[in-house]
Amino acid sequence: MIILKFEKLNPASFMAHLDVMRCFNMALRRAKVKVKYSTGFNPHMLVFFSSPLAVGLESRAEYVCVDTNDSAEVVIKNLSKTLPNGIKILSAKAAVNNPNFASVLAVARYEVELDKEIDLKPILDKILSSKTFNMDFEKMVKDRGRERKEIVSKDVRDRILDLSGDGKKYNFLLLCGNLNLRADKLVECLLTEANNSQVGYKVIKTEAFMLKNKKDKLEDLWLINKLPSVLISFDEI
Amino acid sequence: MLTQKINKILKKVSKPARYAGGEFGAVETKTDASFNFLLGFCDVYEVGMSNLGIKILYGILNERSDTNCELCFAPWPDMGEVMKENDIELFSLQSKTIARDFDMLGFSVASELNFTNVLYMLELAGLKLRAKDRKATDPIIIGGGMGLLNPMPMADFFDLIVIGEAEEVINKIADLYVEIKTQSDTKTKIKNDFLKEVASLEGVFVPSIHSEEHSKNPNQKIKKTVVKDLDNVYYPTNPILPSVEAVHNRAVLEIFRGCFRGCRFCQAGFVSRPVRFRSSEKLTEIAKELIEKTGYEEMSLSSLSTSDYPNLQNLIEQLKPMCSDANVNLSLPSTRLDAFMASHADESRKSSLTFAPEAGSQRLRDVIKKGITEDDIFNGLENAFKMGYDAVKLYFMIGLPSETQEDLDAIVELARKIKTHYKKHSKTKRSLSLRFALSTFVPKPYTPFQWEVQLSYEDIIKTQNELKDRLKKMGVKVAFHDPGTSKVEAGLSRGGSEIAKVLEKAHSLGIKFDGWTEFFNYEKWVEAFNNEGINLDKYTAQKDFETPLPWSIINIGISDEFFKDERERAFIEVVKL
Repeated sequence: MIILKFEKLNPASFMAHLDVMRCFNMALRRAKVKVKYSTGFNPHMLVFFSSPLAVGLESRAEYVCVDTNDSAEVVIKNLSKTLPNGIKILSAKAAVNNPNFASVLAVARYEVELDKEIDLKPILDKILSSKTFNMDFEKMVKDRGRERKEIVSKDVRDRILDLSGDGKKYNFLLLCGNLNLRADKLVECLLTEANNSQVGYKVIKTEAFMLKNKKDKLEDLWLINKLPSVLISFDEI
Repeated sequence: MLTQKINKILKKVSKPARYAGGEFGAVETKTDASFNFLLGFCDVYEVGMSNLGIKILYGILNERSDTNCELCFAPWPDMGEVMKENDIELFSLQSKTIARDFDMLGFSVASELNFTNVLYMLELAGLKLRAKDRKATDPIIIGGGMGLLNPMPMADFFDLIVIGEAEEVINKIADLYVEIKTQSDTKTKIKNDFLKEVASLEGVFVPSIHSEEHSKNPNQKIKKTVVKDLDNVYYPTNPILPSVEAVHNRAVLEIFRGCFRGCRFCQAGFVSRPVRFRSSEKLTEIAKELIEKTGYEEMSLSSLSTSDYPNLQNLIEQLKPMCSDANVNLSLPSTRLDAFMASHADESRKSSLTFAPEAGSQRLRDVIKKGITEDDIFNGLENAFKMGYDAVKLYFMIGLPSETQEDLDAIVELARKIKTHYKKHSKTKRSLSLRFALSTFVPKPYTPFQWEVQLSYEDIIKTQNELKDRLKKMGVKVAFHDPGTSKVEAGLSRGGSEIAKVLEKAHSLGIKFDGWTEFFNYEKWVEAFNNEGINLDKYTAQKDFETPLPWSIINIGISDEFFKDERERAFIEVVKL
């Protein structure tokens, strides 16, 4: 098994997760990486991805695990030539097992850059000191057989671990994975709150973390003051 | 920067990767090219990215050191709206350059149902629809494709239209443009000189020049251009690969062009003549490269009638090992299930079996010259059922010339016979999945049936309902073509230059993406026709033989005398087999 860390930047950031999977599959075939196939009626490549990244969000911390006997060096060298613009392999290392990203990767760090300086600090501090924080989400609901959009309000405070920064640049630490909060949606919500909803912004996911101790509960993470002590960057293991 | 502005709006639209660019296999933009060509496809990204013609032209033009060719697809309606709201003009996928900044803007028009999308894209590009209203500084608008073989309905919107296969003439067009551009100092001069000169190339129709010439001398015609030797033309073995899953997610190996069957309703069969085969040596070479450079898991053979390829068995035997070594599934035509094909089909996944008898009775099949007999169908099915196939799909057409109630009854009867046949030969306990797809006959130019009448809207509905009831009772799943679509298709395909104003009206009513059932709106089309005082029914009625056909300016390579003879033969029910 080889674990690859890759970035997904513009223009590839607009590719949907299923298309990224299809694209890796074809890129691996073009790169002649000898990937193992599942046995069964419809054999498919044994390739495992970290949780889907929201379409339009850029990231420098995506992971994929490829079941192959080829060396990490060979994979990174060959695959680098066959990926579309915006997807780039950052590192590759051998692993014994498929780490099952979806269940271990729990937290992500995002860097946010606004097009102009806006003081979001008071809003961030207010959120961090509150026990609840509600955000509006669009949800598709079925109404007499027809689909329509409905706005649903949801408390997402437990998905926010840390918010910092000032002026143009901010840093978010949010849950990702099964319990997830989209960083771009949060920025939009903050900008609306600051009466600046028209301001442009750029969000990049920069780091993915897992829990040091499996006994820690995700839902309770936001209550722990000294966050770094319970998290470990996925690259360090 | 436009890219940043576009990235911002991409967050608001569905499937934004359609517009983002960066595909693997895209050619790097040449910033210093003397000829900048924007190749537009008049349907959405996923359809255009499955089109072989687009990949061929994109490849040929970009192989030239003096030319930069970029792509652009019809923005889905949600994107079109957001672009208008944000004052973003139609832009190229690769360098995000607006269409107006290109020397030439080309439209590949696959069918009549793409006509309104040409106007939709011209409007998004900030260009006037009619060629005569556009400025000399605007890009030259060129068109081509199956949909423009009768160019008349769209002639007023184009500066030039290529009739036939463009892969050889496009280089001549590019050469000419570059030559004239380096000699001329003003855009007006370039455009005028270019159109004057390009008009003499084979297969090029310049409406502003040729229409008048033809009205003075009806024998002055535009001859369709064809490639002579398929082994010596460019093949896109390293194609641009889509970022959004295309409708055909596989490598395509075009094995031959043309068709000698001559089914009398089939425009594609006649207009793509003469029949030209690619050699099996060349095909194996192409296949090898395709497999290596695309990484597709499936490869299909493409042509109008794949089982007619000479020594298909030999070709498949050469391709098969290459494919299995690379874990590629070679999908084969299921219409010819003789022992050989059956043994190969057995290895790959068993999908459903497809036949296109087009008509239910032998009499009507003889009329349309569909050289397929009930024995062919049942022998094929017998083999298939014995092998364990349990799904069959049949294609039919309603409203074919001379159709009677007995011919419709025969469709139902065929369903009954297939079910009995399945019980007799199948070894499984699974029940048979039988699906019938029924389209409506559209009389098309360049066929022996180009003068024929089409069923009226009401009669299409009546026939569809009757067959639906009877077939459903037998457990057959039935799918129909939308009757309105068939009517409009007939109206547009047999029209002349007067249709242009109907298209303008349709466009102003917001009509676009006619090929998509969710957008097709028959009422609006009727409104567009009526508004311009043009009766749609006139275009779907029987045509007389004396009046010249609206597309008589084109020499498709087959004379109307041949078509008349074939039509007569049809109705005396003699089939040359």
